[in-house]
Amino acid sequence: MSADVLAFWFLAIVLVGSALAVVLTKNLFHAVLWLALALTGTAGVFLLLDAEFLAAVQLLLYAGGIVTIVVFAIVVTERLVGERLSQTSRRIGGGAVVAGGVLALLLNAMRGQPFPAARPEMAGDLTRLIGETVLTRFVLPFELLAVLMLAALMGAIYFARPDE
Amino acid sequence: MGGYLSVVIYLVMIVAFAIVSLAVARVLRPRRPFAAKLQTYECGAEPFGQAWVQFPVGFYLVALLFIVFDALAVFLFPWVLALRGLGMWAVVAMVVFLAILGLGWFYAFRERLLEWQ
Repeated sequence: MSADVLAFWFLAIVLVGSALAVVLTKNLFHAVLWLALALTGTAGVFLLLDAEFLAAVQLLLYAGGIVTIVVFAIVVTERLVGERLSQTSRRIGGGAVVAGGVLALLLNAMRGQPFPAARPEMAGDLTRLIGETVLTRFVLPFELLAVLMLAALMGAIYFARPDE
Repeated sequence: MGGYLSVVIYLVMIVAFAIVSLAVARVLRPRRPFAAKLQTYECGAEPFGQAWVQFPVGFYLVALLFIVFDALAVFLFPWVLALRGLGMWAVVAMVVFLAILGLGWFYAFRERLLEWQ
C-alpha cells in the first residue's frame, strides 16, 4: 500500500470520526472543536490532491475563521451563559436513514463508472495559475466578489452593532 | 506528495511527545490532592464566579471584520505570484478589489466598531 493510499485512509477515518462527533457530542463547545478537526482533515485531503493553495485556504478561512466565528458566537450569546452547553440530537434514527439514503444514491451514481487509476499530474504552479486566471479571464467575477463580500460585511455590521 | 513525509514525521512526533510525557507523568507522579491544589489556576489570584461569563459583543464584531479581511488575504497570495507576468493590469485589478472592500472598513469605522467600549 503506497503512502498516498495510507494517508487517504487515515484522513478518511479522521474525517468521518470527527464529523460524527460534531453531530453526536453532547457538549456544544466540544462539537466546535471536533468541527475544527474535521475542517483540518479536509485540508489534508486537498493536500493529497496536490491542491496546496486550496489546503491553505481551507486552514485559513475554515479552520481559522469559521471556527473563530462559531466560538465567539457562543461566548457572546447571553442565553447560553451559565447554562450547561448541551445539545441533544433527537431523531438520530431518522438522520441515519437519510444519511444512508444519500450514501446509497451516491454509490448508485458511481457504480459502473471507471475510476482513474492515477490522477493526472498538475503542470506548473497551481497557485500562480489561479492568480493568472483570476486576474485575466475571471477578473469581473473577482471584482464582483469584492462587492458581495462588502454587502455581507455591511449587513453583518448593521445587524450586530451595539444599540445606540 | 512525497515532500510531505517530513511533515508527517513531525506530526507523529508532536502527538507522541504529548501522549508519552502525559503517560509517563501519570505513572511516576505522587497523588496527594487537597483543596487548594485542585483549585482552578488563575495566575495565583483567588478564582471567583463562573468561567462562563458573557463576553462583550465587540469580540464578535471584530471576528466578523477579521473573516472578511482573511478572505481578502487569500487572494493576495495568487495575485503576488501572477504579478510579474501580468504587470500593471494586475495592480489595477487588485487596487479596485481593495478599494471596494475598503468601503466596508470605512463603514465599520463610521459605525464606531473599531472603538473599544
